[in-house]
Amino acid sequence: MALRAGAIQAQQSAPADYQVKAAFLINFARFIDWAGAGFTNAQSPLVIGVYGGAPFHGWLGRYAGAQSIAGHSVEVRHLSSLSQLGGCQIVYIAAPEAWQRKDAIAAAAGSPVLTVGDAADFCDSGGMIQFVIQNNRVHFAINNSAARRAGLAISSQLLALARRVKK
Amino acid sequence: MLIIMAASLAALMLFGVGFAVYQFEAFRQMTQSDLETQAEMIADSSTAALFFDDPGSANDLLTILEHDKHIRAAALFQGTNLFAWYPTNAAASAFPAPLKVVHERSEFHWMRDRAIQWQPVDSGTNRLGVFYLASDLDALRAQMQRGVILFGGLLAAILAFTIFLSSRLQRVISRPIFDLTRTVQTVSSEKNFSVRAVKESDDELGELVDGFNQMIGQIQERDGALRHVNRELERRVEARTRELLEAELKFHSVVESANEAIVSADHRGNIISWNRGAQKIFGYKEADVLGKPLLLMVPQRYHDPYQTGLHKFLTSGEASVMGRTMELEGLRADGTEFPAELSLATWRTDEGVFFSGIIRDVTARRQASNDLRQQLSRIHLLNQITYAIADRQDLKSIVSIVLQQLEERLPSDYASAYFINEQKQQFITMLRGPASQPIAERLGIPDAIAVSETPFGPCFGGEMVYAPDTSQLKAPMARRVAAAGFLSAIGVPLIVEQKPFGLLVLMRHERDAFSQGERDFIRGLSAHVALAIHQARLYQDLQMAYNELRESQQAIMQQERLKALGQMASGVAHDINNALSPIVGFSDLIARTEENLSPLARKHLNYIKTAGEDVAHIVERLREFYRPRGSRETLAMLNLNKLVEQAVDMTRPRWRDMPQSRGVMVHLAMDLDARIPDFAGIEAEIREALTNLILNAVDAMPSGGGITVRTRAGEDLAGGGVEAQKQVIVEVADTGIGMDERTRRRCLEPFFSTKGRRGTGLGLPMVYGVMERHEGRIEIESEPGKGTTIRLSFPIRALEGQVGSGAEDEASPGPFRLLCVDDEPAVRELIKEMLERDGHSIVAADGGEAGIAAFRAARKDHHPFDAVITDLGMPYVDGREVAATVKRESSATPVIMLTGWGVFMKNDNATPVHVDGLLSKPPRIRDIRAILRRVITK
Repeated sequence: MALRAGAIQAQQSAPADYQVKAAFLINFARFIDWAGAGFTNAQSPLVIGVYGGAPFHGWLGRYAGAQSIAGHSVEVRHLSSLSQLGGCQIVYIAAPEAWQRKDAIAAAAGSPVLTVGDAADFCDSGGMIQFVIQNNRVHFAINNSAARRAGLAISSQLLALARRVKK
Repeated sequence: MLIIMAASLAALMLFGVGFAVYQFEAFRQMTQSDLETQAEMIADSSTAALFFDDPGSANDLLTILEHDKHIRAAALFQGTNLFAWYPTNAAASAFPAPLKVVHERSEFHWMRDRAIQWQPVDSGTNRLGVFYLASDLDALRAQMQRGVILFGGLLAAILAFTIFLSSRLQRVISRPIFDLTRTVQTVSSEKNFSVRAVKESDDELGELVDGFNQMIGQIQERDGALRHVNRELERRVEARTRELLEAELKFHSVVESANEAIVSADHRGNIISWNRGAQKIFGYKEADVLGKPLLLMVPQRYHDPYQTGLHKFLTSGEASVMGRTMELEGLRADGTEFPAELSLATWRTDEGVFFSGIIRDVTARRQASNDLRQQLSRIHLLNQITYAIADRQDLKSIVSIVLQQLEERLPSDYASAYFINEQKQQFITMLRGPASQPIAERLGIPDAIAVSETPFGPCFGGEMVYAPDTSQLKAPMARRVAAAGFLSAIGVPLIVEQKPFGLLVLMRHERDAFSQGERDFIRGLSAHVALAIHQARLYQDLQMAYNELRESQQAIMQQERLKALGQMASGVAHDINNALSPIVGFSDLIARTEENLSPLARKHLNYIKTAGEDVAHIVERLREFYRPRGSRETLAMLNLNKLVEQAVDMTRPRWRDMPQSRGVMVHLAMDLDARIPDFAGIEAEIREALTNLILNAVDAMPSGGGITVRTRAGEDLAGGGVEAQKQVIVEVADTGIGMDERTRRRCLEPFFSTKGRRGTGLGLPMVYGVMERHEGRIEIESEPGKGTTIRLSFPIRALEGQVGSGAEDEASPGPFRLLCVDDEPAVRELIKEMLERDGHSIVAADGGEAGIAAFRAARKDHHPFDAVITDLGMPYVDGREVAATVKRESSATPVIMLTGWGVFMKNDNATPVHVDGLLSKPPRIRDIRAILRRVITK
């Protein structure tokens, strides 16, 4: 079934936010066009890599197992080094240190990998989608220029939902 | 014109309504598709808002709808929960709740004042929610209003234009038509064909006017022509009336002058005209019959069919008799009838149907035609009889066919043919017709009728007798047939060469039933039949003669062959007998004279003698089949039945015991006629012949069968004599293998045998010889596989002065002085010795010449011989010459001829008249004594 953010609306605590974020992270994939560059073939899974921590408390894996996005199954990998970025379509960068995040964004730059993070300066540091909390609800900001540079097209619907869009 | 206008208007209205409906429907379609498109677009754009649970941005999205003033409401549901709506100020309760099931697909609904679209919101296979969109119908209404106004304006404009146009056109079309109508009225009311309509234009109307004018012109012409024809007609009627009158007069004169009756009648069948011919034929005057029914011309018996026919014709108009000539009977005024010929015609006028008939008296013609028909049928009958006769050759079938034809075709109720027996004055029935035979049997008419009992006596003189009424006759036979209902009879003699030999009798039931013509015919026919019968007899005689000739020819050929064989056999026998004579003679002599012989020598001498006699016996057998009855055989009156019984008894071992021992059964049956007379014959020979036949029959049945021995008395018809030769006949019939034709022909020849080594070939030849000697006949019927029948016929003869009956004894006559002439010294010596032993004195001569010399010398010395015994076959001067010389010189001196083949003397016509006795070789003392006693006593 479809994942709806409304199902977790009442969650206030930080772990509850991550449950919403996990659902968002998978739904993002529905509105991103990798333009054929991201997947080795039609059957290969959509790989979501988590780098620099494990903030989802298993939610991400649980949602991913039941999802299919444009015919691809969803697979979650925890990345221990940046060299593993290449096989992913989406990378959630959870690293606590800014330089670590910068390194990771830099490593992803140039390849069609959607970078997502929740650090306050994530978009400003070159990340593509950044989670923001407003009025106790999870929202997101989009750095569309970074995405375009990586060859990714983000749906206008997603852009219309974003709190802030860096052109 | 108003109608055209109204129709156009109605059509336009109809079009308008149709257009409006179309417009409305098209606009509705448009509205629906607009709404659907809008709903689809917004539903698509709202997937992200639903995914990321952002009703704010969804509401933003819905605000776009402000630009369309007809959109009254819109709502986005997440699942079934209201998520975002428009207009924003409306209460959430103003929106209907989506039904999960109903809205699986997009749906469109027309409400009274609005249109509603339900659109599901999906992402891939996921159902995120439902979008609701409602629009008012103001746009549709506005559109419809515009359409009505536009159409109304257009209608008014068209109407105005049409009115204007038609008023102009009416002036061009209607006026000429009105003109034309007026002209037509003028023509029809005044009958004035000279007026013409005025032509105003060159269009269709102009052509119509032209056509009308042309028509009027033609009518004008016709009218003139009609008047002319009318005048012509009147003139013609006048002329025709005149002609009719003439024709009427002509017709009347013809009718009155006609020899035929010409009669007319009205539909009731009453006479309305009656000419002079009718008066002459029927004997009525015109005044007597006018108005009376036609029926008076017809005999009573035809009235019903006449009425029926008339009625049928009057009701249906059908008549089989109209227009053709028919024959019927007419009735004269005096009540007599006559054959008439009628041709009938009918005609119809306003007054009804009339008939007219021409009636001719055809008495004479019918008479002639009847005569001719009879003549023809008789000629036909004669023809048929002649042909039938020509195909047949025997008397019976000729007469049979003649009688049958006479019965069926003449016809006659009774037909029979008789032979005339003049001596007994009788008619002997030859044959009766197939229908007459049972009648004759019923009446008990005998086969032989005395002439005196019949009226046909004059037929003996060649006259035909006709009895027109048999009941008036006195002859008993005539009374008998009259009582049986045959009242007329005719008897016609069958004559050949002026001599009646037969009688043909025909009878009929009616009195005087044979007309003169028929009597003439029968007389003529009798000549044909007589001739045919005569021919048939001649033919039969000829056939018989031919058969006899053939048989006798065959018999002669057979005889010739047997004779040749016999001669040969006799020749051989002669030589053997010559050689045997001394052997047998001297041994005989020695045995009688030499009393001192040793017993052994006597025994040997007996052997020699017996052997010689055996040879002689064999030679005898060889000659047996062809030798005349010798003096030695004694004829006796014999009973054939007794001989058959003896032969059957003697052969019993052969036909019963021997086959039985081989397991084969031969039955022998005797069928003996006890009444057969005795006949003269040689008992032993006939018995042997019968024995031979029975043995042959047994041999012919190697696997058993039956033998029948039958005796009967018979007459030899083929003998050719005037008196039939009486015979006794014996038949030996077997059921054996039979003989083929070749065997049958040759079986009588000596040495011809089919039995191989068992047979001598002398059995049947011996039988043949026996039959020859008895002047009887042997007939052989045989067919391979069917058996053989051999028939022996003996002529019955009494004993004629039989010479030399068995009273001869051994005593020697004499003594005589005898001359013995033989060129064979042994024979000559033998005879000399034999005769001298009997005490005769013998002078022997060794040849013919020497014999004659001795004979003459003795006469010269007045010591002549009492008899001369001479051999027949000698060189130089033979026995015949010796005998002739002796007789010439002393006719009283008996001559005895000694011969080995004396057999032939008789048959060869060479038997010298000069010979008094024949002595065959080898001579025996007994024979010599007998012959000497006979000739010298004489």
